Amino acid sequence: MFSKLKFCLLTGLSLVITLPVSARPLSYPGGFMAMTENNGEENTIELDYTITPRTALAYHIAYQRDDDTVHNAAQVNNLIWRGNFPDSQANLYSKLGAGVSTGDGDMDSLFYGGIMADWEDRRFLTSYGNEYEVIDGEGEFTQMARVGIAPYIGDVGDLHTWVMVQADHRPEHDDPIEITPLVRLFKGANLMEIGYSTQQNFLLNYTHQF
Amino acid sequence: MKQFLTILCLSVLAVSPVLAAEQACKQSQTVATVDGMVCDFCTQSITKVLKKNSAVKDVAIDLDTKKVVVDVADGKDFSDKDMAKAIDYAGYKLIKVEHACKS
Repeated sequence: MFSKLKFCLLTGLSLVITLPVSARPLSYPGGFMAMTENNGEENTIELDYTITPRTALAYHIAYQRDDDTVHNAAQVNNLIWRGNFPDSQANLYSKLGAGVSTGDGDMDSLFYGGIMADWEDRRFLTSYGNEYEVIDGEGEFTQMARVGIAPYIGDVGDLHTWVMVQADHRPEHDDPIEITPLVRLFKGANLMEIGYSTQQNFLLNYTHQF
Repeated sequence: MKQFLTILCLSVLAVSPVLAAEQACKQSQTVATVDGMVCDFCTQSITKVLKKNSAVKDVAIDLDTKKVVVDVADGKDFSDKDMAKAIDYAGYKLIKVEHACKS
């Protein structure tokens, strides 16, 4: 009952504050983006190529720590909506992926889909993302939310610093909620995030936009 | 004759500031005010899209003023429509376009 309540509260909060994920899954037509995300759950590498102002194709590789499997998937990211405001920007994205999960001599089909949303200005940031993943017919839902603040506002090309808190919710896990305070360092085409979670896992993310 | 010389002098005086201004304009610029730019990835996206146009010599972006300043290459034409198309293609919202001259 309590975990159900926690689930509803977190989902509701996530939807209200809208948004997840370290970097936007889309850049500019013709642009590439390389991303790696490393945490207690997985190590991932993703290469995105933006083909239109609203669509990017991606190849996603993930090593899943808990079951020692490797996921290889092709992914489509879509910008469903963007709000360009005088001092801020908001986005709503979808992603759909299909591939295989391999490990221990097995190869299973893998499908996933999710919604990501974000809002940020130069001082504050909030994001939410969820994903429903089906491996060999078995589904799992996960979601993540973030809030962040920039202690100072730099000019273009300066080193930008953000202090953030990320909440991951994995309902299937014994300890379903993981909170990760993290620092984002952002300079030019490079974005790096370093954090340490309540479940004593390090977080290290890096994105480069070409 | 006196009247002719007076008109000639006045004409020269009237035209000279225009000529001087034209001579001082070493770099023609197109300046766009754009909504939605909040970070360096935004500025990079807009810069890369603009630089695909051969008429764009250089791009400078100021997030405080929300201005995208394009230095137009000598002898090339970079229209307001070109600017609008590039900003839209990069995923941002164009508010207005102005023209300036960097001396």
